[in-house]
Amino acid sequence: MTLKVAYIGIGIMGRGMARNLLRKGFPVTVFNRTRAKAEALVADGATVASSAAEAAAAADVVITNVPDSPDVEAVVAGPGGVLETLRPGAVVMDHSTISPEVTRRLARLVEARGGAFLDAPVTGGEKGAAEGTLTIMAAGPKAAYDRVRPILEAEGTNLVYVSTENGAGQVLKLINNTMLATYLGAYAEALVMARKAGIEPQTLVQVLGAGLGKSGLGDVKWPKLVSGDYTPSFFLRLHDKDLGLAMEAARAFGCVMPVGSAVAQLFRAGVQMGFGDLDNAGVARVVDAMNGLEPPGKGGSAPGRSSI
Amino acid sequence: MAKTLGFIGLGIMGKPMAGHLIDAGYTVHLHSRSGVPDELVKKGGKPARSPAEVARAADIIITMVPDTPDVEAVLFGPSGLAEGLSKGKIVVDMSSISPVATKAFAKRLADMGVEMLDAPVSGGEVGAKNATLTIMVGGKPSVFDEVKPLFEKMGKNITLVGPSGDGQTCKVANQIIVALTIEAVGEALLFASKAGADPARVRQALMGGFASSKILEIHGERMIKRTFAPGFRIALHQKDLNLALESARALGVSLPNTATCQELFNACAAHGGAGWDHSAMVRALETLANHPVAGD
Repeated sequence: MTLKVAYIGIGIMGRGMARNLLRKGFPVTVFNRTRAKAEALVADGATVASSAAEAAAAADVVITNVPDSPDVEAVVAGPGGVLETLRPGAVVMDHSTISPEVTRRLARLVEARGGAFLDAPVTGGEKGAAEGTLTIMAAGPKAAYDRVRPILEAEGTNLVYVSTENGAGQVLKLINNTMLATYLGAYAEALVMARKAGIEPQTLVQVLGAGLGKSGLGDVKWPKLVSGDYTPSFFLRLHDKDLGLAMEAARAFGCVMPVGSAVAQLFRAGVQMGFGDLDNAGVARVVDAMNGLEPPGKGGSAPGRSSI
Repeated sequence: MAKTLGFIGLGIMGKPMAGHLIDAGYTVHLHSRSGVPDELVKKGGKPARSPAEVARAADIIITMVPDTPDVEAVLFGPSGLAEGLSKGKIVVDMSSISPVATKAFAKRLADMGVEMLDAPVSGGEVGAKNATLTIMVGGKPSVFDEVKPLFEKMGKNITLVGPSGDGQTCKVANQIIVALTIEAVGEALLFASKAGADPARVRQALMGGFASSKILEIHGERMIKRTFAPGFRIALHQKDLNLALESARALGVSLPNTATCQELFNACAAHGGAGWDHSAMVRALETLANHPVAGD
């Protein structure tokens, strides 16, 4: 029997993921705070609900994919939230990246309603979401994981069951995003050094984008870095949020994070400098500013002054 | 008529501070989780079984405990101060805790007709013993004026910074400067030592110059003489920098070197050094240099 899906949160990721599920034959009811974004999926066959509770009422699997911990708390446990209508035996699967601690609290609330909770953050970006090629790291009861497996298989190609303990999926995602942030910081520095040395950015990428330096992240981000076009696929401000959560978790585990903590401060600066709505590769704007450089594309490869 | 006092938390800092108040002739009711030191009882301090008992007996109650949850427990926990407080009494929290939580505590006490000052200190064990603490206060000017004579028995540089919470904000700022200066002194002495210079002579030479500081003087000496018994424990400074970094996150301030110093403290803690004096931050740098400032 086909699982009935509620998809809450139609952002950059949610849009592609919900559309992909519809294409693969799942009945999907969608809810989004800004209704127009949900309406955009009607043409793909989605039913639009006017609250999270309404979306969840008939669902076997309720998927949430919203920006931050308080947002997940609101759509699950707030007024008009999922808990008001959740069917016993239903699974709430959170694809957002949020606090492991909040995750555990929500899991207990869902269980108290007779449901099961999976924290299942994803990585793979906008492209992976739309094409169903995401990496998904899930934690929670194994039975719930097995139940939603057909959905996971539609959403992603690299499915990782992390632990029976809720929150472990989020911790793994925070590790992943901390590492990606350090890559971006390193890319930005590399580009500055090349520009100041008079090496063309394209020449730099020809080397760094191949060999041992080649990475999935680089494939997507180098074009942005070289052109200075930071049209967002992942907002810098959300990456900043993740780094805050990551440092909090690192502290709880007694980790020493000399690199991650430094990069976290750069992302913090990015938000304060007004780059929060740029792509996360826009952290390069912070490094550029520290270097007195305009972003590439504006100042070209020639060093120019920016207003720091 | 002299006010009757209470003092809760008689650790490294609290014990000498309470001692000064007793020496000045005040009646001081005492309570500490780890028991009241005999020394204070011999001076004339009055041991009490709970914070509530202290609150019933005293007009002005000072608290000096490690962390935000400890203050909360002393104030509002079972047998806490709140059970014994009444209108007109004053609570003076000299612990270093969250500015945000402080404002909430002050509000809850105000609802009971009780005034609160946040009055964290700087100057360490030495300052506490010599009654030379720097005291940074948040609260109402009238309450500050009333408590000021007590502060003068414990400290020298006493400032009303602003309304409730501002004392703690000021203390967080202080802890940022202290941590980064310890780091700077550590790097400098390590550099000098690895270059072959005698770090003790380098310290001596720099003490009169532009780079001179209390931290070069006191913590620099600790790094050279390897006296890492606290003092001020790394675990407490980690707590303070966590307050700094969490507040900075909420405020949207990038504090790159505060973050780095916290990682160096974390590295010490990971090596079992949470109980070392904070000057032992230099040990994390020494590991990276594979060279000690001076032999143990």
